[in-house]
Amino acid sequence: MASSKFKFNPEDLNYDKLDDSLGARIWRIVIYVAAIVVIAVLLNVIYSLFFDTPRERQIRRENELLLEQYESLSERKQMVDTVMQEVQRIDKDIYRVIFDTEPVESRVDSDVGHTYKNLLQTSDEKIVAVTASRLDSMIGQDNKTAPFYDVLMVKGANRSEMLPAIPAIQPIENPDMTLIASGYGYRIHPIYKISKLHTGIDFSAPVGTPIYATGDGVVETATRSARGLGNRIVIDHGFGYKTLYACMDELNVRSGRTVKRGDLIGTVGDTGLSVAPHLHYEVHLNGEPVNPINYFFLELSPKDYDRLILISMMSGQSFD
Amino acid sequence: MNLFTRKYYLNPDTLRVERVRLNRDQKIRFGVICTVGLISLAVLMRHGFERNFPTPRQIIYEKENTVLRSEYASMNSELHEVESQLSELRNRDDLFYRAILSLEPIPSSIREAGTGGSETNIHLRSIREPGMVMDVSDRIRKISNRVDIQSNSLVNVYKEAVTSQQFLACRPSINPISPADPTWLTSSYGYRNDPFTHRRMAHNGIDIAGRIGTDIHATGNGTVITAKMSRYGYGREVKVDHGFGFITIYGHLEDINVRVGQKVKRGEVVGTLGNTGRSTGPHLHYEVRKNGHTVNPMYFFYENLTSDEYTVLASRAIFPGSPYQPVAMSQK
Repeated sequence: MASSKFKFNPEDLNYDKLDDSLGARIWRIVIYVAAIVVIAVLLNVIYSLFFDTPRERQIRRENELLLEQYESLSERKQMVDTVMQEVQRIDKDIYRVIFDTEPVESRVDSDVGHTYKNLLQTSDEKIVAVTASRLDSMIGQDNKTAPFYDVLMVKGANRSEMLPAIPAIQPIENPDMTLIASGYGYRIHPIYKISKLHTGIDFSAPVGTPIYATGDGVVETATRSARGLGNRIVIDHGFGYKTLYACMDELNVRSGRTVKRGDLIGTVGDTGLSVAPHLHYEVHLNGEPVNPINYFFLELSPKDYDRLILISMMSGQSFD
Repeated sequence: MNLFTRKYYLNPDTLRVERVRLNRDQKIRFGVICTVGLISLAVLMRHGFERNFPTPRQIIYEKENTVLRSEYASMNSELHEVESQLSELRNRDDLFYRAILSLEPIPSSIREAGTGGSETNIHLRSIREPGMVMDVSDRIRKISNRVDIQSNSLVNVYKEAVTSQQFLACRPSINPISPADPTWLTSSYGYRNDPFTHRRMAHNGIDIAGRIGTDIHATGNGTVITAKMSRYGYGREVKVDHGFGFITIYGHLEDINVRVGQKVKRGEVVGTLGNTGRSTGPHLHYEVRKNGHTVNPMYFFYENLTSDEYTVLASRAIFPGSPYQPVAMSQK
């Protein structure tokens, strides 16, 4: 087809010669190619409307599997949750039966920082200034406070002896605060079921758990008895402080022995008027029982302290 | 556009202007070239496209996948929560309840039982990073084991706790006479000179002397099994069965306030102090028997109740609904 081509022109009813230059040829090829490309794109679109790409198929399959697994798993999880709720209900029931009160939630949302926030936010100079002015006003006050101040000064003088003597730790190891059962104050008596003043703290622990002296001192008495407080030890710490460890199993020290803070003095038992193995711990200041919770300061962080207070307050029933 | 216009050419043989027509071979060749070009182009495009750009549907699927995976993640964290609750329960169970009730803690070998031998799911192999799914499924299996064990354990503990509370409620534990009433111990448990024969004889209980008509209280919850009068021995006598092998006897009573078969609570008045039977003066003979043997009653009451507390205790026996009133508060 070397000869030139013509086009019929309907206006003048003549045959015009078609442009046969290189540019026109290229133009024609471009149009063909473009048409093919468009059709290819269309084909692709149509194909993908009806068929998945391998990748799509893989993800879809995976999704199906994941969903299927998820459904069976969540069914099982639901069962676990139901049983778990039941278990927690029983747990609460047990707690109620034993202690006549609701259990303490372990995740206490008590915002410890809140208590100390004010202090922390205040600048040191301010605290020093306020303390100094308070001290000044205290010293400047009438005779009433003056002796008190003197006592403070004296106490300050032999502070080095006093510090190791004051009961300042828990008498048994209680790192997670899981052991304490009943604190100081009015508690329902486990046998009489009436409210009685509980003058110490009960740490529930298995028989045989070691008990440690909470401060330096001299063992005043180490008594064995089947009644009342059971086997018990009284340590005289001096400075008006005495501690009592009761309902013990074994007594490892005799009266007159000098003990240091942290010395093993015996083991937890279930002796005397006790309904469960526990240690009954009392702190006496000048002959009067005081709340022992204020005498654990050496080993407790503020958070643990808050938690301890909550636990000791929550329990409704004591152990002796 | 000259692609679709009809083209003509001058046929030198016929000397006529004829339409340009392709013969069959040419048509086929043209068609084949176009088709091959089209298909190869299409396939190439598809490959290139897939490699570099996700299809819209793929994006949707991916989104679904992400949602599913995040569901797994949240379930995993929920399971983590359940696990920590379980650990807490376990601690309370082992360290608290079992310590208090003097039960042996459940050994960890039993608690961890059935955690081995994970079921490998073949289907999961076609999932990218199947670890997550396996993790959740493993966790659930372990947790359901633990929950089952914990549940069984706590059911046992609950039974024990109820029994122990019953035991505490029933065991003779108070003085049969209120500290408010004037009394004195005239004869304790053990061998003593008999006031009638003046010979050393075993005394099976304790004698508490007091005024005639003083209220005698049951020392623990129980059932009256004897309420009889006799001119000999214990005279008017009440016997209470407390269960757990405990029986208490209240002898030489003036009056009896209870009938046989009646349930009594700790602190409830069973009679009044008298001088009936083999007695030389107004007193209560109080006896505690454990599994058929007499024991020293002094070990079964603890003199740490004030008279006010005793009153509260006794009134609670009659009005069980009354709240736990702090005694010191009611005094004020």
